[in-house]
Amino acid sequence: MKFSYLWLLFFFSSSILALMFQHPIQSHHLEQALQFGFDPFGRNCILLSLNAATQSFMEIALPGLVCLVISFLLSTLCFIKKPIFQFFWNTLWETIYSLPGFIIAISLTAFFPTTRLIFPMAVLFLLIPYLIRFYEGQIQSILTQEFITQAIALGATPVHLFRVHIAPELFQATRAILPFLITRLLIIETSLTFVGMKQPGKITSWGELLYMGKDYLLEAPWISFFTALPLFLTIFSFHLISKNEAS
Amino acid sequence: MKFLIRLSLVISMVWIFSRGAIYLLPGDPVDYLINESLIQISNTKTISEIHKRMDLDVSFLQRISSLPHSESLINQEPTIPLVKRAFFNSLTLTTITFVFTFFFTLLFLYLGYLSKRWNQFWHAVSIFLASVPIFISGPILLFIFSLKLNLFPVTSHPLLPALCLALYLTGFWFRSISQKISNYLPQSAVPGARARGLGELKIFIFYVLAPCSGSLIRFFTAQVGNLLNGSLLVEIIFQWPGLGYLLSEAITKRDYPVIEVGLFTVSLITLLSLQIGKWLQIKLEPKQA
Repeated sequence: MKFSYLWLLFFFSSSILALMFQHPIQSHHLEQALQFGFDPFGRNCILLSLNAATQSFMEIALPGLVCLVISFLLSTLCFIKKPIFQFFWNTLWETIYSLPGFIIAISLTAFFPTTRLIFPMAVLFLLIPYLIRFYEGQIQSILTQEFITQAIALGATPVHLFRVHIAPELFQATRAILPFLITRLLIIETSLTFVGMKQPGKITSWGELLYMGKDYLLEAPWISFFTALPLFLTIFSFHLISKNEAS
Repeated sequence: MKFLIRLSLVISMVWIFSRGAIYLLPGDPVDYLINESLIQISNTKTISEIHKRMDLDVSFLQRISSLPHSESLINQEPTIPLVKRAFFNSLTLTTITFVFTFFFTLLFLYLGYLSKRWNQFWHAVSIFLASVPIFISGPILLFIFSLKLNLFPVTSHPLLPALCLALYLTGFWFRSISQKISNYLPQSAVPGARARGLGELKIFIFYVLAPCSGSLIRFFTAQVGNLLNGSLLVEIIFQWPGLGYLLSEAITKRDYPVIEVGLFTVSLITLLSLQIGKWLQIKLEPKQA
């Protein structure tokens, strides 16, 4: 656990510091032999990877937050107990669960390539069904608790129930799921960029570096290594934190 | 009855989405097809011909009530055999992955069940495996097994992609299943079985795994859809000609008939596997379901 926090602290502080040392793109080095620790454009791979970390986290922050808020609000609709509403609500979500999320995300990024808003939309499509299912499960399990039955018996309204009993529990659950959510977002962002389905930004992100690295796997394996190692350690740290939160 | 109505409604909604999503695209889809994918289409066929072949000249209702065009727009191959072939390739990959993952997960679970210290170790291993994304482990495995050791061909062999996917999934499956088992263990009949002198392997199978079988089967069937969908990245890295690879190629080339049939097939399989899992759980664990 200590390792996770230490790694994340070290990594984020160095990523922020690395922003001050952005290398300008130099001429392509393909004719010359690739120097160890540098990419084909003559940029330092460690600095590039640290910059990429900041970019990747900036890319996932807003879609992640929007996903959480939308899912939180939508999941409250499971309070509506009207059978006809429940029937259509469940049918809608069953349809969404059965659609291949990653393929639709790729379609979105391929068919609407000109706008950078499409990537957050693809993330929303991939994460919201998962989060809604999570929140609904949490709400259902809270509703079976004895204190809820007692509150209802004492005349608590649904709004009061949600505000006083359910919302705080859901915030706790969100806190527990947050590290896992970050890893999921990171993997989605990197996967979409890795398959070449995302509009490149001003600063190179982890996925873009891995995408570039796979073309130089034999000539310059350090491009992939200096990107994959911090990415792996970051995901590993968040997984450890997630396991700790869950237990 | 209510279940059947809902199932047919979901299937119709998936169908409407597969057939109707083309209307959500910006501009004229045929223009994009000609500009972005294959120029030779414009030489042989006029735009209106392609419009007609893609049922874009009819109303939305007529389009969703008709079958998609039977030939790929790019290589003129019939769509259904193309998707069927890719589906069987995906099924091969999914089955091998399933066997590998199942084996690794059960092995980790059994070893973890035997001693608490080992359980901690296997938990750490599972976190490690879940932390290595496919786009990292894939090239590493290719580099080691195909380029250095020369054990597998670089493409068109299902073992390496299946191993790559299995290692990643083992990390998640082990954690999910061990969570289910640890929730169940306090109320299990394991101490009684031990007192009767049964072997640990027998106890593990009949008194630990079997009572959770309903929720485990539901979990596994839910994974079938995830595998078909999630193997996309593996199929791209290892160039395995499965459904994911076919769809990603079709998306890049804007081969709309293949996208429509492929999307509907994947969704239908996911939906059916989820429903079968739910039904099996109800049969095996009526109280839990």
